[in-house]
Amino acid sequence: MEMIKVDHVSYSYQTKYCTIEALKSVTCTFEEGKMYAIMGASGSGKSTLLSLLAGLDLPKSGDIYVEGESTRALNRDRYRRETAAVVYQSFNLFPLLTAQENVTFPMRLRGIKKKEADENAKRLIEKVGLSEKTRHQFPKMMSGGEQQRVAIARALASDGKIILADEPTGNLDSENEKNIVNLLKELAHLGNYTVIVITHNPEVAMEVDIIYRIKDGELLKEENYDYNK
Amino acid sequence: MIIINSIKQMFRTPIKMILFLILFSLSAMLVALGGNLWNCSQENQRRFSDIFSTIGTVEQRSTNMNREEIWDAGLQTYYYKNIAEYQSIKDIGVLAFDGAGYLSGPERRPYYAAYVPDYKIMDDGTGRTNNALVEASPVEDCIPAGPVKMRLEKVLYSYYPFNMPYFYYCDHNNPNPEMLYADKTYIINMGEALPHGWFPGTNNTDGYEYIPFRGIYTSQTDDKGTLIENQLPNLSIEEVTENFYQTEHGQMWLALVEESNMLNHTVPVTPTNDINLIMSFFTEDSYLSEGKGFSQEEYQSGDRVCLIPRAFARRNHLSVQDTICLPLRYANYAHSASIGMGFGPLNAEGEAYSTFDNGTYKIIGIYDLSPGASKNSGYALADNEIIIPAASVKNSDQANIACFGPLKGYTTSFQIPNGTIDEFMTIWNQTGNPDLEINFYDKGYSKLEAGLLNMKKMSFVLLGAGIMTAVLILFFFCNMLITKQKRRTAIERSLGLSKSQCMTSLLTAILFIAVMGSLMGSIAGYLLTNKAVESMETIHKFDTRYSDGNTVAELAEKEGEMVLISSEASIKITILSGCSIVVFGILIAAISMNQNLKREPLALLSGREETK
Repeated sequence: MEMIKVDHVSYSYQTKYCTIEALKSVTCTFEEGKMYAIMGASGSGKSTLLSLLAGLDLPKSGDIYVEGESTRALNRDRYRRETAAVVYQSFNLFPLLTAQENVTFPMRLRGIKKKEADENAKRLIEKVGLSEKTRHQFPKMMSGGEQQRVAIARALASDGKIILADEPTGNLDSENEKNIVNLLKELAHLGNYTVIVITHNPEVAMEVDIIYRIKDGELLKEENYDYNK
Repeated sequence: MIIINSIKQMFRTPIKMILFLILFSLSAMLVALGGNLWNCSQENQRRFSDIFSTIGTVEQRSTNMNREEIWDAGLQTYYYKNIAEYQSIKDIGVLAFDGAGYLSGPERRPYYAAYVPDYKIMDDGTGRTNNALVEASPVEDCIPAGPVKMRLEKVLYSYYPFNMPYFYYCDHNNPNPEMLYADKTYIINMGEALPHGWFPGTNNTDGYEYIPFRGIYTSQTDDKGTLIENQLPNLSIEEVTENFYQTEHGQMWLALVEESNMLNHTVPVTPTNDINLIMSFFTEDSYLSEGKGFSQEEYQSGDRVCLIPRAFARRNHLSVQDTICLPLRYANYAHSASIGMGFGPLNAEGEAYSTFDNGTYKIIGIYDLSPGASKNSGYALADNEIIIPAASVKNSDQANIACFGPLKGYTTSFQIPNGTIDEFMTIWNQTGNPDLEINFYDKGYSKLEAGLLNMKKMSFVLLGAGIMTAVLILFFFCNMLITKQKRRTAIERSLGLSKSQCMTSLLTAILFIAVMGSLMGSIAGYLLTNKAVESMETIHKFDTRYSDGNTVAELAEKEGEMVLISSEASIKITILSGCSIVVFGILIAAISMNQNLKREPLALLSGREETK
């Protein structure tokens, strides 16, 4: 079932010196229960596309539909809170909150009681392979990999149907990378989530159902892989 | 959750928090200090205005001084006395001009003579020179150019018992006295005087001699000061012929006897529209020691209430709430009661003045004289002088003006607002009345005002500096806490927090620090103000005994004669300045915050500065 439809989406922004055309009439779809990879060179527009999918801004032209409803019409705060969870390349953790508090944050925002949120957070942190000790550390005390896993745990905690991840395994060792990819795959295939990852890593790309490749803001090609191969 | 997280995050940056708390406290303290000092200076100015008053007295300058020759029979020579002459007598109306801005007056006070036969006006045993109206004959024909022996025939009036068979008489100030015949009887109005050849410091062994006292004459004028035409002979000695007392002159002599008797039971009554205008009260020579002063209502409605001197009250067992009947007989516009005896005793008809206004007055206050108060000037209050509201005199005194003269400082005064003397004089000088001299008395308010203005300027600078510091601190803080917290806002927005939730998240921390900082700073500002005011108290001590309606008890509460003129820091101002800082801080934070929230989370996250 089609979860997200990207329909001739263009996005540009003005800097002090020039206008950057980040996306040029991109059209594609994302279905539930599948894992997608968006690949492309740096500055090709893949992070911009991910951000638009996350409802962090609106396209300059074209539309993005989520379950048939345009993001222009959506309550985007609610959409980000309840539907789309994002794992950022730069993690975007609250530096003054512990790992546990970071993970708890989206749950508490959704109105889950503190005790339940704490238990869930503990479970999620364990699930992404972090130690008990790490749970109480602040982001600056953690390695990049640990921070990345906290960010993933936070995304999982938001319990949205869409998981958007920007280089989610960029800072992980191969074992953790594998675990995280498997976790995301499970969410897509068993949990019926729509998982979209940006990656440069062919090994990660190998694991997804569909790959979109972007170059200079244009969606060039769609490739389908059989992940069972 | 948002609020708890916000405060949690704030406490995890303790140095930043403490720094901001200190800066916030500092600005709150400066604003509270400046605000309180400003308020103190305003308050002091108000209090000074209440305590101090500026009185102007008006005196007409003489146009000429006339030298009058007076014969002294004792020294057998003339002595000279300067008599001021006035081209015309200025009316008090000249003081009514645009821009005068009087708080009170101007008023020209006469004093009235009230005949109160039921009251004692002098203590027993109090000495005074005697005067008497007698019939007497010389022992032999003589010219009274020096003391001549007279045989007493009849006493018509004497203040003291006059029972000696003979006395000495001298027409002392007359260089050409008329012959007196031993076979004739004369009526004489005379007063006791020291004998010839007596010099101060020597014993008087010869007894007193008697010299002519004021005789049959009048100084009655109309209300413009013009002497009323009359036929009074201006005599102090006259031959008593047969049926003399049935003659016109004889009737006048009998009227003089009646007047002399009444004078012994006469008290001066001063009507006023404002007790503050009476210089004796202004100079603190007199003060209310019991009861209260006149209220504005009493002045305006002319209630029959009065203030009496302590000695008169004691002598007659009068106290506050008692009543006294005051039949007013004549008015003297030339002098104050303390010096006002040099006028004709009879009216232009040669009769004793009859009562023109009679009323029963309730005593509402008793005044005392300060120790060392001057008694020898026109500004002093006379013995037994009773003060009443001017409007309480219901009938006109126009037909009973015993004496009229130019405006004098002790009869004419007004009150203007403190600190407006220069302004007043500038306008006054344009009215073209150079023959009127105005003297101001403000108890040093003009000098004090300069100090007050300095204090006000200083507090203004402090307040300005406080506000400036507060603004700078708040902008600095907003930049540090909000603009630089852009990333936090971006993360919160990306996680689905609404704009208002983001606002709450950041503002809670700021509010917490702002409230704490303002509280600490305001308390510090309050305490500092009190310290500052306390240090200034030593130089701001003023004598405030004079103030309308103050009784002795109230004065005692004011630390005896002195009262400290200073204010305490106001809790209201302190709270207000603290709250202003909080509100201002939150406002600036909210505005800064709003700039961030206007941007899409994507732009915030990427950190790029988009232009339109």
